[in-house]
Amino acid sequence: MKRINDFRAILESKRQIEPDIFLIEFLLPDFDGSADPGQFMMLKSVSTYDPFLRRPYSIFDCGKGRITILLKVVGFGSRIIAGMRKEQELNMLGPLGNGFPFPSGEHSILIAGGIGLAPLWFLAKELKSRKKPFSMIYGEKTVSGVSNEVEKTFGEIVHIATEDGSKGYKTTAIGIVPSIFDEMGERQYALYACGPKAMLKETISLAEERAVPVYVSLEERMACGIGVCLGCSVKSSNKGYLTVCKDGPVFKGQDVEF
Amino acid sequence: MKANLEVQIGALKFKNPVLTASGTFGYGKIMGRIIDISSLGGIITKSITTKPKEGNPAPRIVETPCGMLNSIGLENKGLENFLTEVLPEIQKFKTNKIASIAGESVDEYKILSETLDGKVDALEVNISCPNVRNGGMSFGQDMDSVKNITRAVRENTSLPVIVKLTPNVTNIKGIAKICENSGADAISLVNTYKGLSIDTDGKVSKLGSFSGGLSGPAIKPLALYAVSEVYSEVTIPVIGCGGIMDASDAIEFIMAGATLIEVGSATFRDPMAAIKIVQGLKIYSDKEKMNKIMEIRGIVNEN
Repeated sequence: MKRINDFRAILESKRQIEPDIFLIEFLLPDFDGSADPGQFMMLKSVSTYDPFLRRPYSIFDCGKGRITILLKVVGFGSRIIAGMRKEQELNMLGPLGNGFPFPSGEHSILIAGGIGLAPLWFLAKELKSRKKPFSMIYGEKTVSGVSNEVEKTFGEIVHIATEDGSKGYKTTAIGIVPSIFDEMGERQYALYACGPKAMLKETISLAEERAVPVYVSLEERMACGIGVCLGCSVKSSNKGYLTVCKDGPVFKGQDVEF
Repeated sequence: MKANLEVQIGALKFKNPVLTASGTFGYGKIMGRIIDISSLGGIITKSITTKPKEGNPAPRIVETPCGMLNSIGLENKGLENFLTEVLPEIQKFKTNKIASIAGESVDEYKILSETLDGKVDALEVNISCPNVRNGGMSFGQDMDSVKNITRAVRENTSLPVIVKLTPNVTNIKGIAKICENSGADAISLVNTYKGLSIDTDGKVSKLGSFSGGLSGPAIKPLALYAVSEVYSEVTIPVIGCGGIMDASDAIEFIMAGATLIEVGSATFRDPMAAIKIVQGLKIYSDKEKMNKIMEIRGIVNEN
């Protein structure tokens, strides 16, 4: 089994995309760059005990000696990381969890809602570099700098949805999926989604209707990130509970109930 | 001079006083990918129940100032799974394997202790979980249950018996004394303090099962005092637990009377915490030119 390391990470650059959203790149001198899209890191930002727990962040992008995260300020922990300056350090435990399985021959449809973009950005980059066919949907409440980033990087395969119609289609991310099915016609598909729970539920039922495989990345409060505290449980469709951190965060849509 | 960190509970030897607290280390399988488990004094497993237990609804954890509340609810796959799947796996750890057991009746504790006899190095009897409806902390708060369960385990195993106490009582010394008189070989304390955290926007508890157990540095002074109290009352070894983050904390517990210590939620923050504490104890002992770590046990109480 692969070793899990607690890496020293040095803030290299920070870009503010929206008042509360940042892209932060860290240098990790000891990180060999091997991680799967969908995997995450546990960040420990302070040496005092408040905040007490690490915070999980999906790997947005990575390479040898570096990892980038997409951070939205939602509370105490994220605010501290967002406030860090160049050359300040934190610890990153990982890479953790199971990532997205790669499509064999299917046309992948990546469905990202809001900050749920992070793991799918990494997946999209991998699919692009492996020349696998895919479409990418990014949905948000209202137009933001994030959708510009998505368009700028992935080009014409990107479909933007905003709830208020301020950019792209006035619908939800899911609202766009049927038009992609229509446009691409008869072929094998696979759905990959990360975002609000309601969006993931809709993705799963849509996939069931069309009988296509669906993979969702879940988010839950977690203490350890490695499967020992059993704090981040999600109900298994089979029996009992699964841990988001170790059994997930990516699950087959049919395997979990939430 | 290299200090001797070895300690004992009865005839059972520990290479150092550092144990991992039940429920914070799984069964060691994943932790083995991060640290060298064999360098620890021992590991205490996630609590085992006779039947599989699903645990409580989410959210199960919430961060609090310098600590956290948990309400896992003893989720585990049960005794049968422990025997067939877990036990063979943990044999490779060259350290003491202590099984934590939890039941909803005296009979279940009997079954667990009888079945595990000879298969692990010691038993830790969990009568202090604040997050289950039946048994758990309610046993640890009732003097008759404490006596009956401790006796039942004692009569059904040849292994050293450690009883883990809840601090949610008015007279922890009295409870500890009952354990000693009922045949316990050691007392471990404290399990978590029952607590609550409220989401003011949603006007609901932040935990799925309302209340939880508080752990972390927030409870350290409380736990330390409880250890010192119990140490003054019993003659059997005391195992200290509650907010131990580093070697300095561990030394405080030993000075308050602990023979061993358990590292709990510190592992969530830093998976290397327990290993770093072992290293820190070595450094401290060398610096203080001690022959044995036990030289400082209970030292503050003797002033």
